[in-house]
Amino acid sequence: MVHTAINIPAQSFYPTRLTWLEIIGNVPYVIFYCGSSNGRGPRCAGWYQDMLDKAGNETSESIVLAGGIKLWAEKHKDLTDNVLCFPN
Amino acid sequence: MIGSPHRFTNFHFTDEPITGRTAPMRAEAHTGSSYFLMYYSKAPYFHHLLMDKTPWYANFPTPRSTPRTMTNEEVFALLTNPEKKAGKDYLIVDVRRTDFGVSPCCISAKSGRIRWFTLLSTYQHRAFIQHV
Repeated sequence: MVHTAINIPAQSFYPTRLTWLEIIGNVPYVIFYCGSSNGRGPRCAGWYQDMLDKAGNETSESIVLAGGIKLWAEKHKDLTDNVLCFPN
Repeated sequence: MIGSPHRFTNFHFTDEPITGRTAPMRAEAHTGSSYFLMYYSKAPYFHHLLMDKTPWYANFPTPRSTPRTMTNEEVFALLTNPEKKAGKDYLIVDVRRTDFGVSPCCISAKSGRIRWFTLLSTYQHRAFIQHV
């Protein structure tokens, strides 16, 4: 994991999106990533941005980390936690 | 009776006795081995449920917006900025589930053509089957 990141599995993000909007809706930058930020990351970020647009929330912004954890772990290994099985 | 009314099963129960130990040679997608397991092993034979090829996002709508991307350097600058606090000024969200982290307690038992792995992620404990 990227240092300081929290884990919200993509499979449970959409059903719980309204609660997450209440919790993280006032954070200026919400940065999503997954393995390589091709599927789950952009999808969850899109859902979050859709919710922000629907609620008229201007304070928060949905962002995708390019390259995902794979690129991050290559470049910033010291800021990567919990990489027991990486790369597999 | 060719098809089963259930979605994920293409086998059906018959009263006919099983004669011999001839495996049903079915070259169909991924149901052949579960058909085999159902008749010839004591192992659970529900792995065709886990091997369902339906994507996880099939029941969710496609997002309309395409958010902008940040490069590693920008996120690194956020992380290392002492004036920015995680959870307040920025939040990094890991949306992986099963590939998020694996605990060292991994059980690997080979039985026939199937290996069972027990993965302990932070959120849930689930069994995995990997074809060898």
